[in-house]
Amino acid sequence: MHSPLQHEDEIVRYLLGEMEEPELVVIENRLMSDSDFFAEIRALEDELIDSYLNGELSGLQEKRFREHFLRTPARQQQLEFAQALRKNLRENRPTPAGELPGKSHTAASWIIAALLVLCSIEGLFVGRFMADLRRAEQHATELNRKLQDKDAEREREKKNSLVSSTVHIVALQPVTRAKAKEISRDAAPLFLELQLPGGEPGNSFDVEIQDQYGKKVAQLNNVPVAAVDTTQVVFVPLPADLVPDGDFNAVLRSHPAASVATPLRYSFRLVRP
Amino acid sequence: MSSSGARIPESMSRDFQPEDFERLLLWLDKDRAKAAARYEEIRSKLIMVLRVRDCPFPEDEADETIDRVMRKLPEIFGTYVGAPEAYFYGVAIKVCQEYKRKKTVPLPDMPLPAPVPSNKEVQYDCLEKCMNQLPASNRDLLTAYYQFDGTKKIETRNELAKRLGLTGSGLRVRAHRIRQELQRCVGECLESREQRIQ
Repeated sequence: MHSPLQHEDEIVRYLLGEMEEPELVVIENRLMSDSDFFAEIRALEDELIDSYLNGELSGLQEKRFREHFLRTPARQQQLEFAQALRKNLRENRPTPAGELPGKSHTAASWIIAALLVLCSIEGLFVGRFMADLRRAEQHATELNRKLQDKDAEREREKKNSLVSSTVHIVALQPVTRAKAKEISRDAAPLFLELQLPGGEPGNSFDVEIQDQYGKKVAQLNNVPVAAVDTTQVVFVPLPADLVPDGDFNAVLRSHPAASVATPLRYSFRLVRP
Repeated sequence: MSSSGARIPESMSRDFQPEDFERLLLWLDKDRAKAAARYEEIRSKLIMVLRVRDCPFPEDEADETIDRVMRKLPEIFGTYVGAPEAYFYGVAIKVCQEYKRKKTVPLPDMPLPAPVPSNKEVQYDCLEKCMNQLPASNRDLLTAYYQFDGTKKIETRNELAKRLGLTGSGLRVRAHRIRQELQRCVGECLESREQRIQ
């Protein structure tokens, strides 16, 4: 009997094409005959894509993922969708801590429960009262959702205006600056100087460098904010051997992590001279 | 193809008559809706197997497999013993081997097609729209499920599974089903926008 982790590990090996024929046939016979097992494999396919985007795969797994798993256009679309979903969920719909969906009891539900107890004691017509309360609760939930959507929209607008008006990337020596968003490099270390929009809170940031597909290629934690003249900036050292040429994003999250803070996003391009 | 209204799939060879497809459905289940759902699942399973086995055109090969089984069905209907899935699987392996042999014929040098630029903004709009169409409980579950990385992700998911009375694997499958529904909705949205542009 395998433990759940061994079981998951086997499925991941299967998905990455790491199994030889006898093992392959065993897993495929089960896949074909057991719908629950098939559903599990499909779900782990999502997890594998997310692990790739989070930079959680080992070197070999990452290689297999790129060369084997991503071979078909359908899987590439899955990857693109996963990136968009991740961006949407993390940047627009933060879940305040302790508000997970499920059997949690909100203040409103406790009040309703208390009122129902009172109504029973008083011998009132509970059915009609419950229906009214339910309607009121639905109305309140709907209003709450609309307010949250409006807040999220305002946040997005604020973030977009900040990014478009103030994002600026400067390459320091030994790197020479080419164009506004194009920098050249021929030696390590490479520093990015990221200007912060005015009024940005926090003394340091966690910086995630992503490739053009949104996959994490480097993570630097607790990078301090510095002052250059009157401007607040963050210097991000990039390990040149780690980052190949191409288009990248730098995502800055205030440190320590605050689940409601909106990350700052910078796009940049690295090109060889 | 929806499970309620099973029609001959477009991917199926034009040599077939409606009664051929009816026979296939009957082989899968007496209940037509259940048979259609099983047909869809078999096709998805075949695509998965063919992808993992590095077969060159998994979707085409899955359809070719189904065509071959349909052709063989008058002979084996009523005599074949075992689950239809096992039969499909055997045929799929054979089809894959044949395609792999064909693939070894060298192709003439041709310039690679220019990559089609994916319009991320449109995709993002569609995603936002589809997200708002999800029932609130599904949206909340997806948000909580994908919100964090690392240790916090594990903690959140454990807590979520506990609250919903699910195992870790059960929660993962539920999140996958919502994600699949969302991806289908985004696909349809992108298609309808493309049609509007044309």
